[in-house]
Amino acid sequence: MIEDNSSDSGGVLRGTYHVCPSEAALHAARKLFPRKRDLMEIRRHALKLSHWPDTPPSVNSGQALDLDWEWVKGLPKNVTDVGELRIDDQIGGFNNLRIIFYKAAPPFGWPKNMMWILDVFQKKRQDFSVADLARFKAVRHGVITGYYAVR
Amino acid sequence: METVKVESIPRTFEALVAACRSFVEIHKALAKADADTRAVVDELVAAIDSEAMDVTELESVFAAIAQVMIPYLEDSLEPATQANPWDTLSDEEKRVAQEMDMEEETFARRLAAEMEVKGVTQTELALRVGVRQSAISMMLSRSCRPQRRTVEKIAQALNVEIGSLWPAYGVTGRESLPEKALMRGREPMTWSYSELDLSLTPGLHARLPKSLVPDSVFDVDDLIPRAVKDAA
Repeated sequence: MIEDNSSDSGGVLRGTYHVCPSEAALHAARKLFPRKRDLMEIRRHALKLSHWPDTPPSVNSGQALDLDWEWVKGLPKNVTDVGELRIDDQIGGFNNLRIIFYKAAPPFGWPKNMMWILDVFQKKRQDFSVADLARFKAVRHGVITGYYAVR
Repeated sequence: METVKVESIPRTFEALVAACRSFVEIHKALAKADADTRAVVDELVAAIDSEAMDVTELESVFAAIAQVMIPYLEDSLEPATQANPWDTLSDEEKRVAQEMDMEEETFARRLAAEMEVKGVTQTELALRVGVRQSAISMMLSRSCRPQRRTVEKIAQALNVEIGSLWPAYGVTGRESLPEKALMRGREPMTWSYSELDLSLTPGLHARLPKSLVPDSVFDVDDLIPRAVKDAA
């Protein structure tokens, strides 16, 4: 059974979602932020997703505490649960940072709904490239087959 | 597993053999995968060929392929030690988290004091800053680490200096104290907050070398852990 990370080490309130990085996102974050402090900073921002303000599907964007989020457009029509969290701070020398998340139900035996982190990266273009979208879709697929599929 | 970059095909025969060893393993795993998974991998490989990517982007594509292949390569991977790698922090990560906790605690205390002095409610401040009241509430209870931009907006809304809200607020961001000292041309500090926990007792904090405390941006009082204050 996993522990609840939604309050982090210093917090006292608990969110309603469990935030978990995919292996790919963790790899990307470690590559991007070799300094532990930067990595921990991005982790704390990502953990804000545990306090996700549940919104109706018609809402395309909003705020998770003090971070803006928006659903990612351009993915296949059946993929409507992948969003981007915008970090305005410069961390580790990078600005325009994005955390890509996948809002999902809990895997069997896990206690809370999930916010899977699919990717952490510096957005360099106005729109997501074909490769960006293929990456989000692939990691989401990997999370589903790895954590949800019965094989 | 070692990354083999597509733009750097092995130059030696030995390197090619090593790459083929990995290739055979991946090829067998891909053969076991369902059609959707193979399609996703094909899409990623096509994206590599079709777009100009820098090293970071390319690495992310490889990581995405690896993520997709995990369920089919589980036998050859080291067993996962925990379900969520963010649930357990290393000693170094705990130390950093402690430092961040202290920064957030100082910010929360100073923010609460400023709000009281200015007679501003959480709802009013939230409106001025452009966030929900719950975000302000969580900052005050240290459950939300504010962004630099948020701290700036709050300082503006309360008409106070940013440095009076956030400890060690620097020009380029929220540097740790040793970096802050370096920026000011001082000797880097070698202690950590955990060491301070042991050395600081009420009344003894004046023993801290002056050179270690950046003037005007950090109160010595902020360094005293709450537990010590409570005990006093």
